Amino acid sequence: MAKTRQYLISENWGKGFIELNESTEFDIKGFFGNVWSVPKNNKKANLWIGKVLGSIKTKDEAQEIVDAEIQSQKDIWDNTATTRRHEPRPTNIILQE
Amino acid sequence: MTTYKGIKGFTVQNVASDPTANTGQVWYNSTTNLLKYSGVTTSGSWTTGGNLGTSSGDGASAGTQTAAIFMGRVTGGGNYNTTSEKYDGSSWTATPSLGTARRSGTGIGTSTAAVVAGGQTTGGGNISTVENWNGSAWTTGTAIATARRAMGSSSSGTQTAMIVFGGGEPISTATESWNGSSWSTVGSLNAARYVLGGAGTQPAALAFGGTSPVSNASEEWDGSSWTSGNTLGTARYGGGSAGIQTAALYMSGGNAPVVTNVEKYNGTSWSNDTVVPTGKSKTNGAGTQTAGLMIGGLSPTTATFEFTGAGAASTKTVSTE
Repeated sequence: MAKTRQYLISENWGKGFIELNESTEFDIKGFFGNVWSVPKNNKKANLWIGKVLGSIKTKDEAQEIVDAEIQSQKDIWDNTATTRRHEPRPTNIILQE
Repeated sequence: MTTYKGIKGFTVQNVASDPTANTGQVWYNSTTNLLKYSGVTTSGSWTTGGNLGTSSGDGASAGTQTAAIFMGRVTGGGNYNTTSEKYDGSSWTATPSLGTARRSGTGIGTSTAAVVAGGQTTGGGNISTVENWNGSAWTTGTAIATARRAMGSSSSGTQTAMIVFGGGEPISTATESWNGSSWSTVGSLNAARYVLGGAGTQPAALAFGGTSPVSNASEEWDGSSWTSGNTLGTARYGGGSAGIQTAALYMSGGNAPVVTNVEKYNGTSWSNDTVVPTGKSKTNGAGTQTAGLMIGGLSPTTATFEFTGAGAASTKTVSTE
């Protein structure tokens, strides 16, 4: 299957991190661990990666970061008193190609 | 008389940076070497808003996309607190704290005249406490009759006219109405649920989603009773709510796992709009159907996202790719 997504890590600094023109021109998805996904081979998405100083990761590398963060969230959930567990235990997320 | 302009048209402007343009205007950006034009969006779009000062979710919220308040919340490790922050469309700043630490309160009003009602406080007990914000300080108001958390509310209501509904636990159908001086129990929801969405005003409110079980139900309030409306496309709880009964917005939410779906209500039915970049459960909402704000969520986060409905001016790039 052709790879359609590319992955990066970048910390969301807030206002201006994703702007209107960017979100209307290409699809941006965010995951645990400051992992973001945008279309591959897309000039506008690549410009955004440059703007946010994104560090490109392979899908496997991104998956490892997401897995580690989810595991961390699972650990927090496991160590939280039952009465303070406000959400189901986090579940794994499988990144797409 | 024939003119050069009439035969050949206008010359496309060559500019170093994108101008503030009218819809339909075309220009060439000599810095980026891109041909651009000013159009409008055909569906909703998302941008990042300012980050919260505290990584958190499951609070209460009120106001608009450019003037909101977020009060009470859960932070890491399931801790509840009194933190309150206000938003000016760009950044969040701390306000004086709530009197009672809580999560899962419900918020009504504006950033200068808000109410937080109910919730769960440190120690695990549901509370009936109400606090009022006047733009500079929180003061204790008249408590609701039944202590509950995760209620819905007429989020676009006012400090003198509002309703709260549902909540738990035990999961409730109860609706209470405030007339500026006292709470009274009024017509009950048809479907008991908590962690539900709420929009509208005291005489015209909307309830949607919630749990348990996870619900896609929506109900309309006419000032005296609830009637079932058309259902959400995606059942969920704990999304961000915004708007009024005839123009509501439900942003993201939970349904093990979290969903990124965004739906809008037109007074008759729900329809999908553009998904939010990062889904969250127990997130909070503010604003309107065309200018919404999604605040925090669980697992705790500082992220906020701003929703702009279709029809917004948007600079587009002419591309053959």
